[in-house]
Amino acid sequence: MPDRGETEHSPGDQTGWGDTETSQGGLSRRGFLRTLLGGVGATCLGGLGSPVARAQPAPLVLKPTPPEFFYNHGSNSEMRWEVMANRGYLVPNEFFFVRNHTRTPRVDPGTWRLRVEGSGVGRPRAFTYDEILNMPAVSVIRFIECAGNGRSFFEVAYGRRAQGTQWKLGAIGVAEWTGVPLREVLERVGLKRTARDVMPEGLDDLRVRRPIPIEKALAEDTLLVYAMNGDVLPPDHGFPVRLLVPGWIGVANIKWVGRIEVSETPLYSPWNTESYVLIEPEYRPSPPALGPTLTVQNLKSAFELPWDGEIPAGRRLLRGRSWSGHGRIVRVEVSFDRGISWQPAQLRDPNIPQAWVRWEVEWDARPGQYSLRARATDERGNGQPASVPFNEQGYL
Amino acid sequence: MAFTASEFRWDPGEVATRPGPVTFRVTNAGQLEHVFLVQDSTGRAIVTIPVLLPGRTEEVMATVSSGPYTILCTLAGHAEAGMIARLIVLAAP
Repeated sequence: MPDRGETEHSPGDQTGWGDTETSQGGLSRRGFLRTLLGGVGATCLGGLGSPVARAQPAPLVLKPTPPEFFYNHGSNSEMRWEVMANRGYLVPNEFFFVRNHTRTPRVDPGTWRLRVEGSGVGRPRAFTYDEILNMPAVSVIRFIECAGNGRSFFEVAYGRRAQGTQWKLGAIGVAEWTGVPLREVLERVGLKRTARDVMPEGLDDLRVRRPIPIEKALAEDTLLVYAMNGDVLPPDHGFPVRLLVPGWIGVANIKWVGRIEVSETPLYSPWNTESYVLIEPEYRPSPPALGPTLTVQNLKSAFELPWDGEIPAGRRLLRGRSWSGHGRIVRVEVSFDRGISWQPAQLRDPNIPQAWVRWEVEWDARPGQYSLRARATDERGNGQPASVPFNEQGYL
Repeated sequence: MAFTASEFRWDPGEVATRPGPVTFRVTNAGQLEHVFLVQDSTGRAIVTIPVLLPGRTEEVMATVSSGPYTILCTLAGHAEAGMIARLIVLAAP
């Protein structure tokens, strides 16, 4: 994919897309998607008539995840960072990491409905796939990152393993997401002024669901997404429709959404009470949650290099990427001596808030073993501390 | 006492035994990772297998006294989806 030339941003601008470009692009994209869907729908249906069709036994992830591109952890496939070396800004769909709490469901777009209901709406109803496609479309470039990205480093730092998938840094991807703002759908169901929590729910066999506050649900770039990098949303990434909740932990971006509950009272699910909370003595529980609930992702940086890899000695240009859920990255520094000294990296265009920035730094690499570190600072002044407190489920 | 995990249930779903030491032999016949936790009627955890990988069998021992116990997988959503079993410990008459 070519780099996207984005419209100019002021520092406070979090949106990052141009409406005129997308409304024109949206029409041709919808036509393209309808052509694709004829094939996709038939493949997905598999001869069974129910809206959620599953074969027994079903693979956990449907797309190929060869070990040269991914670390495979059961239902989760982690991107190898060396795959992004010298690539463009976006992660191609075939390399995008997969985080599944259970297996990818097969959903028939013909019988799929999005039910929007609850005490916070005056006119609950169900939408068809065509109705969603026919609404005004937007495209945004944003990251989606698993809350547990980096979890394996708790064991390295503390000698104590945090619960959950032991990701290194590859549970992150940036794509162009196309869809309709959630606000558009909420307005059509008579959103009440007293609405407070919005909880999208998936059609997977665990019905993974997690509420977001109404303010976040109404943000311009909180989308019901049906296309990824210009192609119809792949099954492992949420076909037919998923949420995009920019800057937040990955689980908020519910895949295979089939229902959205809007409530005047707080909503709870296992994914904001038992998990995706911070558990450790210094964090106080807020019942029914076991600890403070996670919202915006913190900052991270990664090198476009293999983990524990080898590179030839000599003058090199090292490349990497940094990201923050709070906004645009403004500075990246790199250390080759375990944090004793730091030098600035050069940031490359584009630099889209709540996506990532690519950077590069020259290194005169002498033979030897090195621990390379990169730390970023975002436009709000957030940085990457040298260490964070342990928490049982290994977040942040 | 043997239990088998799958998505999303325990087999058997209900079983009885006598008070005293029990060896739980737990097999994961599913495709996802699970957790095996036994809790007493007050909700206190008696014993756990924190990581049960697909295809693996693990054993733990515990001493149980008379009363009802609950066996569950503690991963988010798994108990709600059906991974709860009952163990009833019957005192000798």
